[in-house]
Amino acid sequence: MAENNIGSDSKRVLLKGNEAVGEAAIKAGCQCYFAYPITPQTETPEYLSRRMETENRVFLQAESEVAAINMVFGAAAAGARVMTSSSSPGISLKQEGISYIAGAELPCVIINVVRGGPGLGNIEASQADYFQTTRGGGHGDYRCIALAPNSVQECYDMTMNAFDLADYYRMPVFIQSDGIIGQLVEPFEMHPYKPMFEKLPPKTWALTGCAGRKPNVVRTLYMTPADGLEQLNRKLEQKYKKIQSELRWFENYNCDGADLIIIAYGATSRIAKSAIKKHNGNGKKVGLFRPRTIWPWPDVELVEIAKKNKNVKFLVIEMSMGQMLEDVQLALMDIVLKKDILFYGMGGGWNPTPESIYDKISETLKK
Amino acid sequence: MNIIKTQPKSITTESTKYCPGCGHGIVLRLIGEIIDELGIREKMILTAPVGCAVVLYDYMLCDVVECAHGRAPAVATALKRVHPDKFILVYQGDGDLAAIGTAEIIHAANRGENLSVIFVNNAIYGMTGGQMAPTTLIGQKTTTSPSGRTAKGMGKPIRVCELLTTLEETKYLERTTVHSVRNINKTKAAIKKVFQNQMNGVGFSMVEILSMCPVGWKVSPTESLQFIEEQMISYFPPGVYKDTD
Amino acid sequence: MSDKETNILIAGFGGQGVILAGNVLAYACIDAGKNVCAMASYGAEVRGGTAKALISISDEEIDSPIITRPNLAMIMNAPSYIKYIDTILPGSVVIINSSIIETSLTKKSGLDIVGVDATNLAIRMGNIKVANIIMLGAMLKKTGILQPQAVVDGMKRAFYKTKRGLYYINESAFRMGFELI
Repeated sequence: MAENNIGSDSKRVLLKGNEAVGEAAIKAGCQCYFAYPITPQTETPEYLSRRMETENRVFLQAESEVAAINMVFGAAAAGARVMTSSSSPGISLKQEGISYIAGAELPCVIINVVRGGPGLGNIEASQADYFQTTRGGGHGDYRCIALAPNSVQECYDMTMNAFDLADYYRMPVFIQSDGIIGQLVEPFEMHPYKPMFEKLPPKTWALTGCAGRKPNVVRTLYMTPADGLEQLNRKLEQKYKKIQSELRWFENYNCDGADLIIIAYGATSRIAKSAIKKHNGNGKKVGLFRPRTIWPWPDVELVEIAKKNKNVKFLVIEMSMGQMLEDVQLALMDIVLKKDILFYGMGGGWNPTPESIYDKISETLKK
Repeated sequence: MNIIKTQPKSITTESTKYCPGCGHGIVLRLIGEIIDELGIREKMILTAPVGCAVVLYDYMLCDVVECAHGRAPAVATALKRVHPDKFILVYQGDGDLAAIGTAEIIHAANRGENLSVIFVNNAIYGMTGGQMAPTTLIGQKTTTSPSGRTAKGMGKPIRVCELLTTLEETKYLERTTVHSVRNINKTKAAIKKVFQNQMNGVGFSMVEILSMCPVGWKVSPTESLQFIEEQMISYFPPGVYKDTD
Repeated sequence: MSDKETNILIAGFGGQGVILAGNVLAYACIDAGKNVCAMASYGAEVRGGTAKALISISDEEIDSPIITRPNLAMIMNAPSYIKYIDTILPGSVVIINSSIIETSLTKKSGLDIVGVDATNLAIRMGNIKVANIIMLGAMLKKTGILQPQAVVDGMKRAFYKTKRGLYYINESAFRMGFELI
């Protein structure tokens, strides 16, 4: 359906989530895109194969996920805005390259349209890559910013933001979508590029040939202690702490004074919201706390809500067997008993339904 | 008094970490001379491999990116796509190019990326201490083939030039050695050709250089020269394998 | 899941234009100023396999993209009828392709089943592929969920730029389906 919207100025444009990601990259000035086909993200390379050509930018279907992420590494080192996209098994293959990109402090955008795992799993929506994305993923001590859209509008907006955040902090930024959000078709406002920052740091480190300056070196090898691996890791740690203090995005729906707060992100958060709206709560109030950044996690905000609401219970819902659950437990460990943090998850690449969450709400409120 | 030879301006004064008798230093020197002759130091970006040449950025005065093991052709592909007007040099060893990075080199060659590839083949994993490489000769003893490499179970050494010849988008493929002055001079001419091809927009060009690793082979530097002369060049014959110019 | 949502199931076999019919509806919603959210089945590529599209239409914000109980359906072949008929909420309108779904199958109480001889009519029009749009026309007339002009505009978006020839035959097919009811 892509062609029918290209060049459209319409406030309401219809695209798939995976296509909106592609269009946002175009608008944000992504100069290079490298990827490999995998369901359920293939609409993004298909979309960008046409759009990048029209815009006279670099589109290359790589021979493998490994090659694609190393092309991302090269383009980022060269100073270009660059993106790749894949789905879970492909993202596993990319982890080596992501570790190098994080270690070399290069900016790039990575889209993960999560599907069921482990192994080949299946091609249905899943959220079981949460640990992999929020804990680094590859070898070494690093983090990636991870934005979690729950609509086509957010696929579009967050992809634009991701390019700015990557350049601002000099690091890989993930869009953690899933098989539902990536495949979803809904109208959204296809606005022009809105920069997040007034000014981005100049890429003085980029490889452009050393005319008129000292040679630039992009590397991750620091063989001797004097060479600086310790310093690099301390520098990264400081950077991650700064990001944790500056970048905690969330949505608070009905949480103030709630007796039960559902915590969910991505597609699951929308299914939960549907169930909450339908449920009258038998006189009790049900809210939704939705992390929009899954790293950093909006823990300060959740703690504030937990402190205000006496005797509130929490229900974490994920399309996994309980991964974000651990971040919720970590956030609330000093103020909420573990037994008041409940979990509802599905692991096989299946999604909860509005009805199943509705029943879960009733069951939890009875306890 | 006339100066006949001097330190290339594109090479640092840092002493290399290469072992005595190693061929990498000769190749480095040749590359430095050619960069100076062609005047491309300030417009080049070098991809360093994983292996003995991993710290090339300490030896060369130009922009350098150090790549993951075997991935230099993918990294270089992107560098060239972003900066088509810059000179991109890919430097790889045999473990890097012919084992872990086989897919990357084959596909960069198959796409006909306009790159100059220096492939140093010393038939062994040098940096990790002399393990069997995809180019290790039949019968050659290494720390992971202590009884000598056998075709059965380990396969025969991969001839990269011959392999890449079948890909129609490769433009120039030559194998040389650096075990004698005559051959070093031939190698310099080959490297220069491979550089000029990129500058003239010809396309994917590679020189495979047979190089000594006396420490990895557990022989003296002199014996390592003989090893190339007597063992390697009969299996890896030097020569121009493709020249579409 | 909201009671004010129209949750439409379109099902058939691959190649019958199931996804396309869903996209036309979604485009029509943009022109009609309604909220819409569409999910098509995706998967291992098998030509002739079953295809399914779920479309929610509402004047309010649409939350769950997952629909388990549709309240309107358009079913284009027998395997889909058997597979999905029990998921449809009682009292709902179900438009079926009576050219290829045996009527003996369709004696389902509690549903308002409307047969449309879509495949035969489409063949008579000269393009078997417009059966989906004939059924869409019939569904629109039967339920009035959208103004017909919005759907015509939706088809313009879906076809006009890339496949103009197809736009005209689909517009005729839509009007024919609309007049059938």
